[in-house]
Amino acid sequence: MKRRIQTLALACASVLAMIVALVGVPTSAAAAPPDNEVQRTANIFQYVSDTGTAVFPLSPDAGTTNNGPFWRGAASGSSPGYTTTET
Amino acid sequence: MTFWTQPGTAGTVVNDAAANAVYASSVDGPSELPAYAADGSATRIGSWVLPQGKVWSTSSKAAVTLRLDDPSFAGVVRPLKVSLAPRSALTPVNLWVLNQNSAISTFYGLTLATAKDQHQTIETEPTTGTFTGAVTPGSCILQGPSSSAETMFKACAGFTLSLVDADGQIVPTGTAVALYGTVAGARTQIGTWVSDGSKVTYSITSTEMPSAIEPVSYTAVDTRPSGFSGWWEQSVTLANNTNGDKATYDVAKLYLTPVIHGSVS
Repeated sequence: MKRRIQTLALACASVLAMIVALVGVPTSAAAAPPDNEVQRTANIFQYVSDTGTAVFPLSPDAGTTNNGPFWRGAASGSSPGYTTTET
Repeated sequence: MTFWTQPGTAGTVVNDAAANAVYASSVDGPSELPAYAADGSATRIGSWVLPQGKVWSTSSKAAVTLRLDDPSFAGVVRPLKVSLAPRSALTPVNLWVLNQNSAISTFYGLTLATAKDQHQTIETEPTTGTFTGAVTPGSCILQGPSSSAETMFKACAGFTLSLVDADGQIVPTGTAVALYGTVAGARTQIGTWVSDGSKVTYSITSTEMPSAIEPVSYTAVDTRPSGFSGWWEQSVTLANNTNGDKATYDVAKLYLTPVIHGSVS
């Protein structure tokens, strides 16, 4: 009986290790959507011109950096947006 | 690529799970989503024109365009959210998985202040008075205590009221402009206009009531705190802003209408 439980526990641990290896450790899986979302949000602002239009580029070379604001967020997988340090 | 927005008020987060959120996919459309004012109304004020098909990261032409039905709209526009992930992945429990290979971008359209014509009447002469202008302020990013990006997107309070000369040039604050009227059938300078930045003061020194007074042109230009280009608040993350073109502000007029009371016979 004891051996059976040990085997079962070992099998569960192996499966859990495989899951973690495949998808990574969920660092903030349980966070509420707004905060969770902001942590990985890139923000792009552009004024609406007198013609009533604003064009938001999606290309990597657009914007103010060589690695444009949209794709930089997409490529890095980290938080390029607000750090919420405003007071 | 997935796009979504939602009716709501300024400062509230666009909730992808809300029943009134609208979605589009670059792969199977639609090619537009409605744009909403951040006043809680579900009535569209324009559209977000979206790229179609696969959007390559090496493309230099892919863009999202915000197109307002009324070009002079001023106020806060609800943001548009964009993700590289399919809609099926846009659930709170999967957001952390999104973080492994994608991000959500938020597009904010910042509107410029607009000025409209304004009318006043005068009944005595000489006289003085003021116009504060019929101005709707634009929108900007303001500092806020919240951790939510949208809560920092508000109506912009600051603008400068300026006179505009006959050549379309902005008159420096404090500089007087001639006020013309028709007196005895002739165009005559009867006073001055001057702006202090927040209001326009007129001063009619003529002791003879003109039959008509020429309007003066004015404009309202946003005075957003910025060390970058002036169109948005830069105290947030400078690197995440994109350049806009040079802005052109609408010019409106201030009208003074003399009121001639019944003549004595």
